[in-house]
Amino acid sequence: MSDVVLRIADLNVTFDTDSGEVPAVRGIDLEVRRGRVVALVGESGSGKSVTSLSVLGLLPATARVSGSVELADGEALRDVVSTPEEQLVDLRGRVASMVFQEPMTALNPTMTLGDQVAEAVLNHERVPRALARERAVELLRSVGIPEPERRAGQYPHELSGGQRQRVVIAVALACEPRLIVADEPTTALDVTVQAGILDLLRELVAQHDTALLLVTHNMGVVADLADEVAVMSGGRIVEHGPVEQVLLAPAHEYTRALLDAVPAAPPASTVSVGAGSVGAGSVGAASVGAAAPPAEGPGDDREIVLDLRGVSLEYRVQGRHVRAVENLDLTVRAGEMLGLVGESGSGKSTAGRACLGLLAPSEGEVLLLGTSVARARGRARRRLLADVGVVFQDPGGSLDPRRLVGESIAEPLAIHGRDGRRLSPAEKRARVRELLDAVRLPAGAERRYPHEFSGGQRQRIGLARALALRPRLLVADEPTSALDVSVQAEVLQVLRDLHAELGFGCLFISHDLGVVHELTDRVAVLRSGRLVESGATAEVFSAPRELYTAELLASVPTPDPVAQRERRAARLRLAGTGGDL
Amino acid sequence: MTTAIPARSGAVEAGAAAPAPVRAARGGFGRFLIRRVLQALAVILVVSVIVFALLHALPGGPARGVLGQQATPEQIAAFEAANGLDQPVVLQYLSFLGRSLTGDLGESYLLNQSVSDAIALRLPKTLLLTGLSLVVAVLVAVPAGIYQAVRRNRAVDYWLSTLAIVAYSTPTFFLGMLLILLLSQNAGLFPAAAPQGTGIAEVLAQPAGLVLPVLTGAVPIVATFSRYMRSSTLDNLGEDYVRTARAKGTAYRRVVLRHVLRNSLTPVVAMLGYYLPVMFGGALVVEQLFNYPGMGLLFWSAAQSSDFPELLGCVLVISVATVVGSLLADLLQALLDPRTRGGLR
Repeated sequence: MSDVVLRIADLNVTFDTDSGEVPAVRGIDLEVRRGRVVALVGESGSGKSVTSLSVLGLLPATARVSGSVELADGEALRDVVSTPEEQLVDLRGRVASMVFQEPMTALNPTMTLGDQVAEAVLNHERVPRALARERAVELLRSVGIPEPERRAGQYPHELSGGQRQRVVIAVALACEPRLIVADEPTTALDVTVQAGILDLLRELVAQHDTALLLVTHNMGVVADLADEVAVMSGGRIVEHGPVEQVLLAPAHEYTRALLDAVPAAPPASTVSVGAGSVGAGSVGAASVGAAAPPAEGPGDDREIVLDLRGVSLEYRVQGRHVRAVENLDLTVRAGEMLGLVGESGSGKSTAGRACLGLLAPSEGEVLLLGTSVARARGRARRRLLADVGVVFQDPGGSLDPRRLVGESIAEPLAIHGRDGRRLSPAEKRARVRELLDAVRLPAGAERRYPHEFSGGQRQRIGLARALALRPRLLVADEPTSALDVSVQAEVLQVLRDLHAELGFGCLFISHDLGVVHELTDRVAVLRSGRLVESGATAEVFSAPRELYTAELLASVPTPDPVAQRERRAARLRLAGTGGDL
Repeated sequence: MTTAIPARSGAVEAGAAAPAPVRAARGGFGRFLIRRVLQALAVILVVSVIVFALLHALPGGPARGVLGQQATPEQIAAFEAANGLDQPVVLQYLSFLGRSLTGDLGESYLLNQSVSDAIALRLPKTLLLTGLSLVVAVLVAVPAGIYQAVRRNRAVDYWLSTLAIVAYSTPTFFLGMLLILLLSQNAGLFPAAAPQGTGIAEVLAQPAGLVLPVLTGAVPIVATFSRYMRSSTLDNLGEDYVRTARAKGTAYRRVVLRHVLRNSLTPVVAMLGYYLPVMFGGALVVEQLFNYPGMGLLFWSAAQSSDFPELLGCVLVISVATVVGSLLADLLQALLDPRTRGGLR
């Protein structure tokens, strides 16, 4: 029994709110043993994050906690729930520590990285400051920060997201705790960066025999890292078992539904094929940037609704021009879905803005329905842009909170009318109802406000608004990235059905290769503003011509633990062949 | 709560942490400074043109203002000839500009002394009074704001908030009279008049006389700044980095003093920059109430009597202070927050 580092027994957490008590966790039991990785999975509101915060006693003051959360401190087990705050300070960081989701905000912006790591040491050990600083540098080195001596004197904003997360991990490791709680440690990161962080966590757990309580919604991450899985729903653990059993032969229907909703990543074997071809000496293929022209079906004579010709896009940052997209060629035909994929900073959203006429290209042309957006002025421009609908990432932020849903949807109708004439109020109401029906929202939704809807519903409202004018082109910029998988599946199904029915061309911008794989006909891969590769989605994903695409694909974890092991091996092989990731 | 320690330790940290990045960008920093000073000069020049033009647009002009309604046209013509007011406006302005570059702001029409002498006499007194008020205000407001944020929505927070609103909405002259009544007339603790005398040394020799004027000046600033500090601290207490600091076992008190304080000071420091012109412009009501002839009274009397050179001199001083104040605020902010140093390059 001395192996147990965390034992949660009958934990209940309730929040006092203005509208009464809201239960978040309802009587869960969980045990984590030394050196084991236990994943706590579930969707938003399942209680997984609340559980993780209760392990270190970090719940807000409005939380009412009962039951016990015991941490192993030496030979003793100490109950976090009944321990007063002054003594918890001694446990936090020393016995158990935590890694958080948002590396961009998890570090103090006004304190050097070295000081922030050293503080963790100084909190628990009586060592001279200089020694703590040295330890900090060593810790930064051990989590793979290059030039740790120099980095220690830098501030968080001088590092990338992935590196900041490494620093947060270094802080968590500082006192060699027996348990690390990681709450969505890679959710905010790009897939290739995520793969690196997961490698690091796996290595650290193995090296120090540390236990890891991994809180995540990403089944691929679970498959990659976990030994055991506990599935949470509605504040309860509905299923708990070894990772192979839970992911491959789930017993509970909720787990099955959750796994079904995960978009299928491109199969692992195909990645190996792509990797094999690279390994077989096709050195020329590795020259990223020399992209082949977009492959189109030879007999495709559908109208081209969007045509980007040699488009370069620039931003002005403090008087300097920064090129975000360089010489990009893309076409979207009517009735077609083109996936535009890439990591953060690849320029994919910038390209999307150009397609909406929000950003004028510095070189090249953006043609909508054969007309240049940049050259159209006044009424002609407005009429042209009426043929483009857009759905943004944040379903909360893109709807006016003080406006009824019906008014938001009707706004494009009020501005543009239809066929050059204004619509009567009755016609508008009819069209709004039609649209709400199309995105499967109940009657009466138009008379409610956005905050009364869930994230997935709001995104469907956004979709209804985007389609109000029957656009010929829909630009969807990460439309489901802020949503849970089951909700994402719902929204994507609505999008897919409407696309089939209405036949608009769709530029689907996403970092999620699984979603793009499931949804799109053709795909274009962007990296640092340049087109790496494009072609039919099935072909690009099964036999990528470019090394970068192959690495990107191999970095996506699949929710099958056995397949994921192969994938990881393939990715590491790929990295060994001279990938620059 | 110890008031001085947090602020001081924050400053020391900033000093210790700053060198590396700032040194890296030193060439850029020099350029930034030069650019800002040139900007400042341009602003001051534009302000002087506007003020000059406005004063000349006054009905009757300065001569009527100085000589009064009964003055004959001959008297006015003589006055204008004597003071160069019969010259074209552009020439007048250019000669004013040329003289002021050498520090000569002209002769006051009324005070029988040069404008620069009049300002040199009053500016130090005003700086002393408003400077002390500001220091006292910051020393009270920063800890009070933090304390309120940490104890948010408890009784002490509500009481301090109420007090701040009352203090903020009380007119300064009423507050000053109240303080005189309570602390001087009734309790007899402090004199009701500010220290008299022409030099700053004489003023400093009577510190008890400064208490009520400084308090009267400080109370409204405390009210404003503590509100800012409270909301800024509250924002920062909700930040992710606070959770990270707590998760590594940092005691709450230390989280507040070492992590939150410095981050919360940034907006307050920005406000401080805007208070510099107030310090130079003087607090008219306080000066009047406590009979303390500073810049505020000088400005007021110059405006009342159309003392043209005096007015120009005062406006010039205040515009310089405004520009320098925003420059200082930028620099202090860069010292506190390494992220803003990028903007200095």
